[in-house]
Amino acid sequence: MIFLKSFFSREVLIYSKKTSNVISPVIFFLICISFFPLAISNDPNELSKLAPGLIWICILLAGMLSIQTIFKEDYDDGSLDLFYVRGFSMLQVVLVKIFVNWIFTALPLILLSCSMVFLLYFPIDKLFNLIGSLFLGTLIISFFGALAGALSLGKNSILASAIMLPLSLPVLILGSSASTYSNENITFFILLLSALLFFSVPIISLACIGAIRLHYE
Amino acid sequence: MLTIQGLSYAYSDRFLFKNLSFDLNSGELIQLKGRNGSGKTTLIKVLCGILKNYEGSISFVNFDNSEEQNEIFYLGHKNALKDNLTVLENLKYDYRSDGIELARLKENLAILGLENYLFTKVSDLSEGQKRKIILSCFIASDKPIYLLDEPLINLDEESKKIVSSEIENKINSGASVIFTSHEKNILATKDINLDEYAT
Amino acid sequence: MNKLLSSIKLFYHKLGSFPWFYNISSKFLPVSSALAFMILCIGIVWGIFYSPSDATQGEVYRIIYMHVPAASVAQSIYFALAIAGFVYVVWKMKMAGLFIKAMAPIGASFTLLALISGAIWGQPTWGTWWVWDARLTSTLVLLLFYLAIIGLYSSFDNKKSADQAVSILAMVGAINLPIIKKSVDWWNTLHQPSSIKVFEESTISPEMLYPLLICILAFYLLVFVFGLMAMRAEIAKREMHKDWFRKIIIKND
Repeated sequence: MIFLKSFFSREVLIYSKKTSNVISPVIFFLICISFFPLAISNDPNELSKLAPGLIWICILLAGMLSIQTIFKEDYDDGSLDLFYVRGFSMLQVVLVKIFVNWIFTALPLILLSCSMVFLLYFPIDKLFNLIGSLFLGTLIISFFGALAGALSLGKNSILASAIMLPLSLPVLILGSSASTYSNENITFFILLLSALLFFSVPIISLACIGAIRLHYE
Repeated sequence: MLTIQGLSYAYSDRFLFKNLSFDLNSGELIQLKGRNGSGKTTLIKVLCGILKNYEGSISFVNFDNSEEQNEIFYLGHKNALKDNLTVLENLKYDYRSDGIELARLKENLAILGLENYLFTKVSDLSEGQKRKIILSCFIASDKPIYLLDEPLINLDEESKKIVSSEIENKINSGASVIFTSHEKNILATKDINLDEYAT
Repeated sequence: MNKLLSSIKLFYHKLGSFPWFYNISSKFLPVSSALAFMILCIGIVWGIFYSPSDATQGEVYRIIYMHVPAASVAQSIYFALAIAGFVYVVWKMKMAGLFIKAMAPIGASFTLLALISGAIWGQPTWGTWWVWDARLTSTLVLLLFYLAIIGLYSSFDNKKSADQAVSILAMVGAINLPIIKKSVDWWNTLHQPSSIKVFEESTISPEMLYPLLICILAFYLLVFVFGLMAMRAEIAKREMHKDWFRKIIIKND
């Protein structure tokens, strides 16, 4: 428990010192969102129809950029070595890292999506559905992205995105559906998302631990 | 304290070293020698628990019920310091300075000449100064086993002497140290030449 | 009973040994290649020339003799990869890691074949080269998973780490694939109630079914043959410097 608290404070401190960690996904998200009205159409009716999908796509892309490097810094500067020396529970390390990353990068984006009511003419009655599905979906995406980052640790390539994006397809489909339809239908999608989250937390964390380990052989 | 039996480490398709056996007792200073690439760093990492796919046995003896992991101080090639945090913040969360009071850490930083740098960002320090931060943790710590990989690298002459004498102090107070170094400053009680165990 | 168990155990141990596999596969290869080729010829010729033409689609439907086996094989190979990944992670059997590396490109090629043949079938039948329904989309995602495995393997220098990494990825992907298929399905039923059926298997007549089954069998045999060849090539690559391999090469000269 002591380790968990101190490791959590360490991660929070590291993230809070680097404001670029928080600002960059926000900027990327807003720019991506702006691409669609500028490049496709700025008709309010069309945008309103496309809005849930667009928000989800941009959240996925912005999340992809920020989650893949969560293990990279500690691997490169030797901190991960120290965790192994001291025998710390890698499960706690992985979970704390993913959670702290989610707080600092995904949470601002979720809050920012509320503004899509204005920018993309997102129907305001569906806003609650959107936020709810985003909460669940971004957590799942963080786990998949962490696995992709762990598998491609130490390699500067686009491979991590290529691994993470196909895995995140169900989340995209379910989350987008949940934001599009009226309340009667969405309980199904929300339940499915919750189930996905519930199962991916243990399975993907274990896979992450194994994936980090294999870079030490 | 530490018994190694038949230790071999394979790397891809060849063995780095094979059938290495030795004992590490309290108060011993062992230097690992060998050409570049003979496996000195790898052996230290295996002893620490970072690399686990070795053959053979490593056993820690004479430890009371505390975990083995807590008894090793590891100084590696990489510094494991966070660049965007200050020295003080780094030391607060560094596991090498675990259990050491702040006053003592400050003392030891002063020994190596870094007492004015507590609130500087690590990224503003030179490589040698970064190394000294960790060496000050080393001086302050009180573990039974020290595994040091190139402890004198990047240091100026005066600091090299300080660190060498600190290693001797640790030996005299009963700890055991295994280190690798290309310097001649430290006199070891025992040498292990990894070239002899190469295949 | 005990004898059966012990012989199974012996087989399992032998399966993990590269020299044994290399020797046994060189005996299997000529026979199974001939068999596969023969059955493929029977199936294709029967399907293209001797089966009746379809009521609605005419002659175009005959491409299912390539499309359905390819799609079936592509999916099976992926699940085999996932099982091999599990075997590698749990029991550390080197052959399992080799299996993933050798079979992934084969699976990817068959997936591509399934996609292209599906598109060729779709164009005259429904007027579009592509439709985003559950089956085609999940086949496309299957291709992406295969490419991810191939890409991940090639990014590692150490073969052991590479095997471990693709094992993890294959397992995680296999869990994901049914979820993708189901979620696209539900998305489609909400969007297009009148979904386009890619093929109506339940109403296929026996005269069309038999050549289809023969073609499916032929494709599985083909995959077996290609798989043996690929695994032999990979064994050769990995064990090039070992004595047992050199002896075989010298013996064959």
